[in-house]
Amino acid sequence: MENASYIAMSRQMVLRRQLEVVANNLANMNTAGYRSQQMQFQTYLADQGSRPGGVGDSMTMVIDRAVMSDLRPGPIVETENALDVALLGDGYLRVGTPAGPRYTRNGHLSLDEQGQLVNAGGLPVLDRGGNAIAVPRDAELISISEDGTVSADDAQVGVIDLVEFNDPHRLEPLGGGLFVTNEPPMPAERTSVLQGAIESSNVQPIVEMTQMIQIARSYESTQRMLQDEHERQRTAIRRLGQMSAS
Amino acid sequence: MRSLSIGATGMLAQQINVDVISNNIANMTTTGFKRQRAEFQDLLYQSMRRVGSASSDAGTIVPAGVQVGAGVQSASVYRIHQQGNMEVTDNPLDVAISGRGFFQVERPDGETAYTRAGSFLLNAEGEIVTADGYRVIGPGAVPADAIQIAINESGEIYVSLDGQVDPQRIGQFQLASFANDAGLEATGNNLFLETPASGDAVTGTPQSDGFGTIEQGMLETSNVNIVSEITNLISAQRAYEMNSKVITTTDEMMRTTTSMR
Repeated sequence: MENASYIAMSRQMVLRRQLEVVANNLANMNTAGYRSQQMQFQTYLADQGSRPGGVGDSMTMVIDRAVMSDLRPGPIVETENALDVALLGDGYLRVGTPAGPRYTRNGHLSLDEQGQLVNAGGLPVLDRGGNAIAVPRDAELISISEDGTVSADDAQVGVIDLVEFNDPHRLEPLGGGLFVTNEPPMPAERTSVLQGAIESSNVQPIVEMTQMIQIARSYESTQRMLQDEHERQRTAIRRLGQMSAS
Repeated sequence: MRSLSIGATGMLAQQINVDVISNNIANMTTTGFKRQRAEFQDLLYQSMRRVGSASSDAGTIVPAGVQVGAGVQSASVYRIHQQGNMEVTDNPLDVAISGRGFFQVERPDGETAYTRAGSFLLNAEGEIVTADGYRVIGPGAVPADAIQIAINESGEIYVSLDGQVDPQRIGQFQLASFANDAGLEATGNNLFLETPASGDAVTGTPQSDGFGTIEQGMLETSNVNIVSEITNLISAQRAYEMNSKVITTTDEMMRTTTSMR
Protein backbone atom coordinates (compact mmCIF):
# COMPACT_ATOMS: atom_id res chain seq x y z
CA MET A 1 0.00 0.00 0.00
CA GLU A 2 2.91 2.31 0.70
CA ASN A 3 4.71 1.40 -2.51
CA ALA A 4 3.59 4.43 -4.46
CA SER A 5 5.04 6.68 -1.77
CA TYR A 6 8.30 4.75 -1.65
CA ILE A 7 8.72 4.93 -5.42
CA ALA A 8 8.10 8.67 -5.34
CA MET A 9 10.59 9.00 -2.50
CA SER A 10 13.28 7.10 -4.45
CA ARG A 11 12.73 9.53 -7.29
CA GLN A 12 13.06 12.54 -5.02
CA MET A 13 16.23 11.22 -3.45
CA VAL A 14 18.00 10.80 -6.79
CA LEU A 15 16.73 14.19 -7.97
CA ARG A 16 18.36 15.83 -4.99
CA ARG A 17 21.63 14.09 -5.73
CA GLN A 18 21.33 14.96 -9.40
CA LEU A 19 20.92 18.60 -8.44
CA GLU A 20 24.17 18.34 -6.49
CA VAL A 21 25.95 17.07 -9.59
CA VAL A 22 24.47 19.88 -11.70
CA ALA A 23 25.42 22.42 -9.00
CA ASN A 24 28.99 21.10 -9.03
CA ASN A 25 29.11 21.45 -12.82
CA LEU A 26 27.88 25.04 -12.66
CA ALA A 27 30.30 25.87 -9.84
CA ASN A 28 33.13 24.56 -12.03
CA MET A 29 32.11 26.25 -15.27
CA ASN A 30 35.37 28.24 -15.24
CA THR A 31 37.66 25.52 -13.88
CA ALA A 32 40.40 24.67 -16.35
CA GLY A 33 40.42 21.02 -17.41
CA TYR A 34 37.15 20.23 -15.61
CA ARG A 35 34.98 17.54 -17.18
CA SER A 36 31.25 18.00 -16.82
CA GLN A 37 29.47 15.13 -15.06
CA GLN A 38 26.18 13.45 -15.82
CA MET A 39 24.20 11.19 -13.56
CA GLN A 40 22.94 7.85 -14.89
CA PHE A 41 19.85 6.22 -13.44
CA GLN A 42 18.87 2.62 -13.20
CA THR A 43 15.77 0.70 -12.23
CA TYR A 44 15.99 -0.88 -8.85
CA LEU A 45 14.10 -3.88 -7.41
CA ALA A 46 12.15 -4.31 -10.61
CA ASP A 47 9.07 -6.53 -10.80
CA GLN A 48 8.91 -7.49 -7.17
CA GLY A 49 5.97 -9.70 -6.48
CA SER A 50 5.15 -10.55 -10.05
CA ARG A 51 4.28 -14.20 -10.52
CA PRO A 52 6.09 -16.05 -13.27
CA GLY A 53 3.88 -16.22 -16.33
CA GLY A 54 1.23 -14.07 -14.73
CA VAL A 55 0.53 -10.37 -14.66
CA GLY A 56 1.72 -9.23 -11.29
CA ASP A 57 2.34 -5.94 -9.57
CA SER A 58 5.21 -4.48 -11.44
CA MET A 59 7.14 -2.10 -9.24
CA THR A 60 10.24 -0.22 -10.20
CA MET A 61 12.16 2.20 -8.06
CA VAL A 62 14.99 4.34 -9.32
CA ILE A 63 18.56 4.62 -8.14
CA ASP A 64 21.55 6.66 -9.28
CA ARG A 65 24.02 4.09 -10.52
CA ALA A 66 26.82 6.12 -12.02
CA VAL A 67 28.18 9.56 -12.59
CA MET A 68 29.78 9.69 -16.01
CA SER A 69 32.25 12.32 -17.11
CA ASP A 70 31.55 14.09 -20.35
CA LEU A 71 34.78 13.48 -22.25
CA ARG A 72 34.26 16.05 -24.95
CA PRO A 73 37.09 18.58 -25.11
CA GLY A 74 36.48 21.98 -23.55
CA PRO A 75 37.06 25.23 -25.42
CA ILE A 76 40.70 26.28 -25.79
CA VAL A 77 41.39 29.70 -24.30
CA GLU A 78 44.58 31.55 -25.17
CA THR A 79 46.40 32.88 -22.12
CA GLU A 80 49.75 33.79 -23.69
CA ASN A 81 51.50 32.37 -20.64
CA ALA A 82 54.44 30.25 -21.75
CA LEU A 83 53.76 27.65 -19.07
CA ASP A 84 50.10 27.08 -19.89
CA VAL A 85 49.43 24.04 -22.01
CA ALA A 86 46.20 22.75 -23.50
CA LEU A 87 45.91 19.10 -24.47
CA LEU A 88 44.36 18.44 -27.87
CA GLY A 89 43.00 14.91 -27.82
CA ASP A 90 41.95 12.51 -25.08
CA GLY A 91 45.26 12.38 -23.20
CA TYR A 92 46.21 13.41 -19.69
CA LEU A 93 49.29 14.84 -18.00
CA ARG A 94 50.89 12.64 -15.37
CA VAL A 95 51.78 14.29 -12.05
CA GLY A 96 53.59 12.70 -9.14
CA THR A 97 52.16 12.60 -5.62
CA PRO A 98 53.45 10.73 -2.56
CA ALA A 99 50.53 8.32 -3.10
CA GLY A 100 51.42 7.54 -6.71
CA PRO A 101 50.75 9.07 -10.11
CA ARG A 102 47.67 11.15 -10.70
CA TYR A 103 46.32 12.42 -14.01
CA THR A 104 45.08 15.85 -14.97
CA ARG A 105 43.90 17.85 -17.95
CA ASN A 106 44.50 21.19 -16.22
CA GLY A 107 47.53 22.55 -18.05
CA HIS A 108 48.18 25.60 -15.92
CA LEU A 109 51.79 24.82 -15.03
CA SER A 110 54.45 26.83 -13.24
CA LEU A 111 57.94 26.43 -11.87
CA ASP A 112 58.65 25.73 -8.22
CA GLU A 113 61.68 26.96 -6.25
CA GLN A 114 63.88 24.23 -7.73
CA GLY A 115 62.87 25.19 -11.24
CA GLN A 116 60.75 22.05 -11.61
CA LEU A 117 57.67 22.06 -13.78
CA VAL A 118 54.67 21.74 -11.43
CA ASN A 119 50.91 21.88 -11.81
CA ALA A 120 48.61 24.38 -10.07
CA GLY A 121 48.71 22.28 -6.89
CA GLY A 122 52.53 22.24 -6.81
CA LEU A 123 52.82 18.58 -7.88
CA PRO A 124 55.67 17.79 -10.28
CA VAL A 125 54.73 17.06 -13.89
CA LEU A 126 56.45 13.79 -14.82
CA ASP A 127 58.37 12.81 -17.91
CA ARG A 128 58.24 9.37 -19.52
CA GLY A 129 60.66 7.94 -16.98
CA GLY A 130 58.56 9.18 -14.08
CA ASN A 131 60.97 11.97 -13.13
CA ALA A 132 60.27 15.65 -12.63
CA ILE A 133 61.30 18.06 -15.37
CA ALA A 134 63.66 20.80 -14.23
CA VAL A 135 64.15 24.00 -16.17
CA PRO A 136 67.45 25.88 -15.68
CA ARG A 137 67.06 29.03 -13.59
CA ASP A 138 68.57 31.31 -16.19
CA ALA A 139 66.37 30.05 -19.01
CA GLU A 140 65.08 32.95 -21.02
CA LEU A 141 62.61 31.24 -23.28
CA ILE A 142 60.74 28.08 -22.37
CA SER A 143 59.04 26.38 -25.26
CA ILE A 144 56.87 23.28 -25.21
CA SER A 145 56.40 21.54 -28.51
CA GLU A 146 53.42 19.57 -29.81
CA ASP A 147 54.73 16.23 -28.53
CA GLY A 148 55.41 17.65 -25.07
CA THR A 149 59.13 18.31 -25.45
CA VAL A 150 60.16 21.10 -23.08
CA SER A 151 63.08 23.20 -24.27
CA ALA A 152 64.84 26.04 -22.51
CA ASP A 153 66.65 28.32 -24.95
CA ASP A 154 66.73 25.62 -27.66
CA ALA A 155 68.20 23.00 -25.31
CA GLN A 156 65.87 20.09 -24.58
CA VAL A 157 65.28 19.62 -20.84
CA GLY A 158 62.62 16.90 -20.83
CA VAL A 159 59.54 15.45 -22.42
CA ILE A 160 56.18 15.73 -20.65
CA ASP A 161 54.55 12.31 -20.38
CA LEU A 162 51.22 12.28 -22.14
CA VAL A 163 49.06 9.27 -21.41
CA GLU A 164 45.78 7.88 -22.68
CA PHE A 165 43.44 5.25 -21.25
CA ASN A 166 41.47 2.42 -22.75
CA ASP A 167 38.48 3.28 -20.60
CA PRO A 168 38.69 6.91 -19.51
CA HIS A 169 35.32 6.58 -17.75
CA ARG A 170 37.05 4.68 -14.98
CA LEU A 171 39.08 7.71 -14.00
CA GLU A 172 37.93 8.79 -10.59
CA PRO A 173 37.94 12.54 -9.83
CA LEU A 174 39.81 13.53 -6.69
CA GLY A 175 39.35 17.29 -6.71
CA GLY A 176 42.03 19.79 -7.57
CA GLY A 177 41.67 18.77 -11.22
CA LEU A 178 43.25 15.37 -10.48
CA PHE A 179 42.04 11.92 -11.45
CA VAL A 180 43.14 8.50 -10.24
CA THR A 181 42.71 5.07 -11.76
CA ASN A 182 44.25 1.63 -11.47
CA GLU A 183 44.05 1.15 -15.20
CA PRO A 184 47.51 1.13 -16.75
CA PRO A 185 48.22 4.29 -18.73
CA MET A 186 49.30 3.97 -22.35
CA PRO A 187 51.57 6.38 -24.19
CA ALA A 188 49.41 8.94 -25.94
CA GLU A 189 49.11 8.60 -29.67
CA ARG A 190 46.32 11.00 -30.47
CA THR A 191 47.16 13.80 -28.07
CA SER A 192 49.19 16.90 -28.79
CA VAL A 193 50.17 19.88 -26.67
CA LEU A 194 49.36 23.50 -27.43
CA GLN A 195 51.52 26.00 -25.58
CA GLY A 196 50.15 29.35 -24.36
CA ALA A 197 46.58 28.14 -24.02
CA ILE A 198 44.41 26.36 -21.49
CA GLU A 199 41.52 23.96 -21.97
CA SER A 200 38.69 25.48 -20.03
CA SER A 201 35.84 23.56 -18.50
CA ASN A 202 33.57 21.68 -20.92
CA VAL A 203 30.46 22.49 -18.89
CA GLN A 204 27.69 23.80 -21.12
CA PRO A 205 25.92 26.27 -18.82
CA ILE A 206 22.71 26.36 -20.87
CA VAL A 207 22.34 22.59 -20.73
CA GLU A 208 22.97 22.61 -16.98
CA MET A 209 20.44 25.40 -16.46
CA THR A 210 17.72 23.58 -18.38
CA GLN A 211 18.57 20.40 -16.52
CA MET A 212 18.27 22.26 -13.25
CA ILE A 213 14.81 23.56 -14.18
CA GLN A 214 13.82 20.05 -15.16
CA ILE A 215 15.02 18.68 -11.82
CA ALA A 216 13.10 21.30 -9.86
CA ARG A 217 9.89 20.66 -11.81
CA SER A 218 10.23 16.87 -11.62
CA TYR A 219 10.72 17.20 -7.90
CA GLU A 220 7.58 19.30 -7.65
CA SER A 221 5.46 16.92 -9.69
CA THR A 222 6.71 13.95 -7.67
CA GLN A 223 5.77 15.90 -4.59
CA ARG A 224 2.29 16.38 -6.04
CA MET A 225 2.06 12.66 -6.60
CA LEU A 226 3.09 12.00 -3.02
CA GLN A 227 0.46 14.43 -1.80
CA ASP A 228 -2.26 12.86 -3.93
CA GLU A 229 -1.27 9.45 -2.64
CA HIS A 230 -1.39 10.77 0.88
CA GLU A 231 -4.82 12.24 0.21
CA ARG A 232 -6.04 8.96 -1.27
CA GLN A 233 -4.89 7.03 1.77
CA ARG A 234 -6.55 9.49 4.12
CA THR A 235 -9.80 9.30 2.22
CA ALA A 236 -9.64 5.52 2.23
CA ILE A 237 -9.04 5.39 5.97
CA ARG A 238 -11.86 7.85 6.64
CA ARG A 239 -14.35 5.99 4.43
CA LEU A 240 -13.40 2.57 5.79
CA GLY A 241 -13.56 3.93 9.33
CA GLN A 242 -17.07 5.25 8.73
CA MET A 243 -18.20 1.92 7.34
CA SER A 244 -17.06 -0.06 10.36
CA ALA A 245 -18.59 2.51 12.72
CA SER A 246 -22.02 2.29 11.13
CA MET B 1 21.14 19.72 0.74
CA ARG B 2 24.71 20.04 -0.49
CA SER B 3 23.76 21.95 -3.63
CA LEU B 4 23.19 25.05 -1.47
CA SER B 5 26.82 25.12 -0.39
CA ILE B 6 28.04 24.02 -3.83
CA GLY B 7 26.24 27.01 -5.35
CA ALA B 8 27.79 29.21 -2.68
CA THR B 9 31.34 28.04 -3.53
CA GLY B 10 30.59 28.83 -7.17
CA MET B 11 29.45 32.35 -6.32
CA LEU B 12 32.49 32.87 -4.10
CA ALA B 13 34.84 31.76 -6.88
CA GLN B 14 33.21 34.07 -9.39
CA GLN B 15 33.41 36.91 -6.88
CA ILE B 16 37.21 36.41 -6.78
CA ASN B 17 37.22 36.28 -10.57
CA VAL B 18 35.41 39.63 -10.76
CA ASP B 19 37.81 41.11 -8.17
CA VAL B 20 40.83 40.07 -10.26
CA ILE B 21 39.29 41.36 -13.50
CA SER B 22 38.34 44.69 -11.93
CA ASN B 23 41.89 45.11 -10.61
CA ASN B 24 43.20 44.50 -14.13
CA ILE B 25 40.81 47.08 -15.57
CA ALA B 26 41.67 49.60 -12.84
CA ASN B 27 45.36 49.19 -13.70
CA MET B 28 45.01 49.30 -17.46
CA THR B 29 47.13 52.47 -17.65
CA THR B 30 49.55 51.60 -14.83
CA THR B 31 53.13 51.55 -16.09
CA GLY B 32 54.69 48.10 -15.90
CA PHE B 33 51.52 46.43 -14.58
CA LYS B 34 51.16 42.75 -15.41
CA ARG B 35 47.65 41.40 -15.73
CA GLN B 36 46.42 38.64 -13.46
CA ARG B 37 44.25 35.61 -14.06
CA ALA B 38 42.24 33.64 -11.56
CA GLU B 39 42.53 29.88 -11.85
CA PHE B 40 40.04 27.51 -10.20
CA GLN B 41 40.02 23.87 -9.23
CA ASP B 42 37.31 21.44 -8.21
CA LEU B 43 36.90 20.55 -4.54
CA LEU B 44 36.88 17.05 -3.06
CA TYR B 45 34.51 14.34 -4.25
CA GLN B 46 32.38 12.12 -2.11
CA SER B 47 32.14 8.58 -3.41
CA MET B 48 28.68 7.12 -2.91
CA ARG B 49 29.50 4.11 -5.06
CA ARG B 50 33.13 3.55 -5.81
CA VAL B 51 34.57 2.98 -9.25
CA GLY B 52 35.95 -0.54 -9.56
CA SER B 53 34.15 -1.98 -6.54
CA ALA B 54 32.71 -5.46 -6.95
CA SER B 55 29.10 -5.54 -8.06
CA SER B 56 28.57 -9.32 -7.91
CA ASP B 57 30.11 -12.58 -6.74
CA ALA B 58 31.14 -13.30 -10.32
CA GLY B 59 33.77 -10.60 -10.16
CA THR B 60 32.00 -7.96 -12.17
CA ILE B 61 32.99 -4.45 -11.19
CA VAL B 62 31.33 -1.07 -11.23
CA PRO B 63 32.56 0.69 -14.38
CA ALA B 64 31.68 4.20 -13.24
CA GLY B 65 30.81 5.05 -9.66
CA VAL B 66 28.74 7.80 -8.15
CA GLN B 67 30.88 10.70 -7.08
CA VAL B 68 29.43 13.98 -6.06
CA GLY B 69 31.76 16.95 -5.97
CA ALA B 70 31.68 19.60 -3.28
CA GLY B 71 32.09 22.62 -5.53
CA VAL B 72 34.95 24.85 -6.55
CA GLN B 73 37.77 26.81 -4.99
CA SER B 74 40.25 29.29 -6.36
CA ALA B 75 43.56 27.55 -7.03
CA SER B 76 45.75 30.49 -7.86
CA VAL B 77 45.68 34.06 -9.04
CA TYR B 78 48.73 34.27 -11.20
CA ARG B 79 50.38 37.08 -13.06
CA ILE B 80 51.07 36.87 -16.76
CA HIS B 81 54.51 38.42 -17.26
CA GLN B 82 54.02 39.09 -20.91
CA GLN B 83 55.66 42.16 -22.45
CA GLY B 84 53.48 45.27 -22.40
CA ASN B 85 53.34 47.80 -25.18
CA MET B 86 56.03 50.48 -25.50
CA GLU B 87 54.91 54.04 -25.17
CA VAL B 88 57.18 56.89 -26.26
CA THR B 89 57.43 59.59 -23.60
CA ASP B 90 60.69 61.34 -24.65
CA ASN B 91 61.52 61.82 -20.99
CA PRO B 92 65.24 60.95 -20.62
CA LEU B 93 64.71 59.14 -17.32
CA ASP B 94 61.85 56.99 -18.57
CA VAL B 95 63.32 53.60 -19.37
CA ALA B 96 61.61 50.44 -20.50
CA ILE B 97 62.93 46.88 -20.51
CA SER B 98 62.41 45.15 -23.81
CA GLY B 99 62.66 41.48 -22.98
CA ARG B 100 63.35 39.76 -19.71
CA GLY B 101 64.41 41.27 -16.39
CA PHE B 102 63.43 43.62 -13.59
CA PHE B 103 64.99 46.80 -12.27
CA GLN B 104 66.26 46.43 -8.72
CA VAL B 105 65.00 48.95 -6.18
CA GLU B 106 66.12 49.44 -2.60
CA ARG B 107 63.17 49.72 -0.25
CA PRO B 108 63.41 51.94 2.86
CA ASP B 109 63.70 48.78 5.03
CA GLY B 110 66.80 47.77 3.08
CA GLU B 111 65.16 44.91 1.21
CA THR B 112 65.51 44.66 -2.54
CA ALA B 113 62.34 44.93 -4.58
CA TYR B 114 61.93 44.42 -8.31
CA THR B 115 59.96 46.45 -10.82
CA ARG B 116 59.31 46.79 -14.54
CA ALA B 117 58.00 50.35 -14.18
CA GLY B 118 60.89 52.50 -15.40
CA SER B 119 59.43 55.95 -14.82
CA PHE B 120 62.41 57.18 -12.80
CA LEU B 121 63.28 60.60 -11.35
CA LEU B 122 66.29 62.19 -9.71
CA ASN B 123 66.44 62.94 -5.99
CA ALA B 124 68.30 65.78 -4.30
CA GLU B 125 71.59 63.82 -4.39
CA GLY B 126 71.26 63.16 -8.11
CA GLU B 127 70.46 59.49 -7.56
CA ILE B 128 67.99 57.75 -9.82
CA VAL B 129 64.86 56.92 -7.81
CA THR B 130 61.36 55.54 -8.39
CA ALA B 131 58.23 57.66 -8.16
CA ASP B 132 58.18 56.84 -4.42
CA GLY B 133 61.78 58.00 -3.95
CA TYR B 134 63.26 54.50 -3.57
CA ARG B 135 66.81 54.27 -4.90
CA VAL B 136 67.43 52.22 -8.04
CA ILE B 137 70.37 49.82 -7.53
CA GLY B 138 73.14 50.05 -10.08
CA PRO B 139 73.51 53.47 -11.66
CA GLY B 140 75.57 56.10 -9.91
CA ALA B 141 74.58 59.66 -9.11
CA VAL B 142 73.97 62.16 -11.88
CA PRO B 143 76.05 65.36 -11.36
CA ALA B 144 74.00 68.47 -10.75
CA ASP B 145 75.52 70.28 -13.72
CA ALA B 146 74.63 67.56 -16.25
CA ILE B 147 72.79 68.97 -19.22
CA GLN B 148 71.90 65.72 -20.94
CA ILE B 149 71.45 62.10 -19.88
CA ALA B 150 71.81 59.34 -22.44
CA ILE B 151 71.12 55.68 -21.68
CA ASN B 152 72.09 53.04 -24.23
CA GLU B 153 70.60 49.60 -24.85
CA SER B 154 72.99 47.99 -22.37
CA GLY B 155 71.70 50.32 -19.67
CA GLU B 156 74.90 52.37 -19.49
CA ILE B 157 74.25 55.94 -18.41
CA TYR B 158 76.25 58.77 -19.96
CA VAL B 159 75.94 62.40 -18.92
CA SER B 160 77.04 65.44 -20.90
CA LEU B 161 78.47 68.11 -18.67
CA ASP B 162 78.50 71.79 -19.47
CA GLY B 163 81.68 72.70 -21.32
CA GLN B 164 82.80 69.11 -21.97
CA VAL B 165 82.66 67.50 -25.36
CA ASP B 166 82.82 63.81 -24.44
CA PRO B 167 79.93 62.35 -22.45
CA GLN B 168 80.94 60.81 -19.15
CA ARG B 169 79.86 57.29 -18.08
CA ILE B 170 78.43 57.32 -14.58
CA GLY B 171 77.12 53.78 -14.24
CA GLN B 172 74.96 51.00 -15.60
CA PHE B 173 71.54 49.60 -14.73
CA GLN B 174 71.56 46.11 -13.21
CA LEU B 175 68.69 43.81 -14.02
CA ALA B 176 67.45 40.77 -12.12
CA SER B 177 65.63 37.78 -13.53
CA PHE B 178 63.85 34.80 -12.03
CA ALA B 179 63.21 31.24 -13.14
CA ASN B 180 59.51 31.71 -12.41
CA ASP B 181 58.34 35.30 -12.77
CA ALA B 182 54.80 34.23 -11.89
CA GLY B 183 56.04 33.28 -8.40
CA LEU B 184 56.97 36.85 -7.46
CA GLU B 185 54.97 38.52 -4.72
CA ALA B 186 53.40 41.86 -5.61
CA THR B 187 53.56 44.45 -2.85
CA GLY B 188 51.81 47.28 -4.66
CA ASN B 189 53.46 50.46 -5.98
CA ASN B 190 54.56 48.40 -9.01
CA LEU B 191 57.05 46.50 -6.84
CA PHE B 192 57.62 42.76 -6.56
CA LEU B 193 59.45 40.72 -3.94
CA GLU B 194 61.40 37.51 -4.29
CA THR B 195 59.73 34.35 -2.89
CA PRO B 196 60.73 30.67 -2.67
CA ALA B 197 58.44 30.04 -5.65
CA SER B 198 60.13 32.62 -7.87
CA GLY B 199 63.65 31.27 -7.30
CA ASP B 200 66.66 33.41 -6.49
CA ALA B 201 67.28 36.62 -8.36
CA VAL B 202 69.94 36.25 -11.04
CA THR B 203 71.49 39.64 -11.71
CA GLY B 204 73.16 40.78 -14.86
CA THR B 205 73.59 43.70 -17.17
CA PRO B 206 71.02 44.51 -19.82
CA GLN B 207 71.56 43.00 -23.26
CA SER B 208 73.66 40.19 -21.78
CA ASP B 209 72.51 36.55 -22.00
CA GLY B 210 69.05 36.11 -20.50
CA PHE B 211 68.28 39.80 -20.11
CA GLY B 212 66.38 42.30 -22.20
CA THR B 213 67.57 45.63 -23.54
CA ILE B 214 66.94 49.11 -22.15
CA GLU B 215 64.98 51.59 -24.20
CA GLN B 216 65.38 55.21 -23.17
CA GLY B 217 62.47 57.66 -23.49
CA MET B 218 59.93 54.88 -23.40
CA LEU B 219 57.67 53.29 -20.83
CA GLU B 220 56.25 49.80 -20.77
CA THR B 221 52.50 50.13 -20.45
CA SER B 222 50.37 47.52 -18.71
CA ASN B 223 49.74 44.32 -20.64
CA VAL B 224 46.00 44.44 -19.87
CA ASN B 225 43.92 43.70 -22.93
CA ILE B 226 40.76 45.62 -22.20
CA VAL B 227 38.58 43.76 -24.71
CA SER B 228 39.35 40.37 -23.20
CA GLU B 229 38.90 41.78 -19.69
CA ILE B 230 35.43 43.07 -20.50
CA THR B 231 34.38 39.79 -22.09
CA ASN B 232 35.79 37.93 -19.06
CA LEU B 233 33.81 40.27 -16.81
CA ILE B 234 30.59 39.51 -18.67
CA SER B 235 31.14 35.76 -18.48
CA ALA B 236 32.07 35.98 -14.77
CA GLN B 237 28.88 37.91 -14.06
CA ARG B 238 26.77 35.33 -15.89
CA ALA B 239 28.53 32.51 -14.06
CA TYR B 240 27.77 34.25 -10.77
CA GLU B 241 24.13 34.56 -11.79
CA MET B 242 23.85 30.89 -12.75
CA ASN B 243 25.33 29.79 -9.45
CA SER B 244 22.82 31.98 -7.64
CA LYS B 245 20.11 30.16 -9.60
CA VAL B 246 21.40 26.88 -8.15
CA ILE B 247 20.73 28.29 -4.70
CA THR B 248 17.26 29.51 -5.72
CA THR B 249 16.39 26.13 -7.20
CA THR B 250 17.60 24.30 -4.10
CA ASP B 251 15.56 26.64 -1.95
CA GLU B 252 12.51 25.99 -4.11
CA MET B 253 12.93 22.23 -3.78
CA MET B 254 13.31 22.49 -0.02
CA ARG B 255 10.16 24.60 0.12
CA THR B 256 8.32 21.94 -1.89
CA THR B 257 9.39 19.40 0.71
CA THR B 258 8.39 21.47 3.70
CA SER B 259 4.96 22.22 2.18
CA MET B 260 4.17 18.52 2.52
CA ARG B 261 1.35 17.84 4.94
